[in-house]
Amino acid sequence: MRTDTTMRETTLSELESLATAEHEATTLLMDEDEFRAFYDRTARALWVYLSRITGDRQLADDLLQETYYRFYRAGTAHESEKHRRNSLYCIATNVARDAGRRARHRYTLPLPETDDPHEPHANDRTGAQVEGRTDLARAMAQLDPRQREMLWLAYAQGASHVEIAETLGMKAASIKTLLFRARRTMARLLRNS
Amino acid sequence: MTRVECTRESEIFEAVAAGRAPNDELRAHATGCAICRDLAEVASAIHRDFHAAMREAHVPSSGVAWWRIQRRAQEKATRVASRTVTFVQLATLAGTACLVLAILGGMSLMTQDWKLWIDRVYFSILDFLAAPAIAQWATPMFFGIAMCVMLAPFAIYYAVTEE
Repeated sequence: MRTDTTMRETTLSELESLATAEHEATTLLMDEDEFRAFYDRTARALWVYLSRITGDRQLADDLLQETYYRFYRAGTAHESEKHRRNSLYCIATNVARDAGRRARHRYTLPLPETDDPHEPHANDRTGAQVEGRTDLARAMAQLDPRQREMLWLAYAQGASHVEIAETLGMKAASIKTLLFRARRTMARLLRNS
Repeated sequence: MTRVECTRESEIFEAVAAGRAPNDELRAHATGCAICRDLAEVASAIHRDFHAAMREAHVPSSGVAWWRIQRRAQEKATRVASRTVTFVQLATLAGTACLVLAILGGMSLMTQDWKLWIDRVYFSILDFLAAPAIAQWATPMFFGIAMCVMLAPFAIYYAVTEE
């Protein structure tokens, strides 16, 4: 009697685990609501990242779409929101690098869209802000792509060294030194401009 | 060896990220520490640009993004299916051509007069079908084979485009 019960329990638990595995396999692709919620949380920041590492707004539009398409099709299970976000940025970085290699894309100077410094109605404060952002864009243009990616992830996204390493496909131990060098170069460029 | 980090980096970055000015003591430290000074300059420039760019960013709505992804996925599936159909069609054509060539080659080897050989095959099939044991199954078998030959292309088509 006891043996029968044990056998039945084992069989049921096996069936349950099989059913869970099957469910997980079929639900790896996000459904519409999940995707849209994730997109709403991440798209703007990702677009800004893409536009800053490529220096091209139009290209950033295309790359944004490509990134979400690849992310969706990859259908990878993520253990947390942070992990999912890192995975998205990793795809975005690779997509941007591919585009750069394909088109031998040159970094252009992304001027602020709404705040044109030459516009006659722009007040002093706006002018100063735009100038600061143009200096930053000019300095970014002189860095190599990996330094741009690293600085942006660290100081715009607030990513940790481990997260930067995961996103850029590098060793976590080397991030500290590389980030230090990128930052020093960037600070020098900002001061010179 | 060049120093690459300072123990007060995180305090500087937290102040920048929170958008508040560092206290006097921290500011005094940043003035004397090259690492923290660089960090403060770079992090605040990027932080300001990030927030301004976030306000200006125009991205498609999530509904549009979802629709584009679905449409692209469907287009890709269609492309893959049509490629497979083309491959099967080419393979079938190539196989048929090989078969015809092999039969013609075999016939010319067996006999110089291939018409005679066809007659021989034809009559041997008739003899086979006329045998008492086979005769009763000959008509259904003929129709069965004919049906298979006619339906085979459709079956292959649906099998391949199902995905």
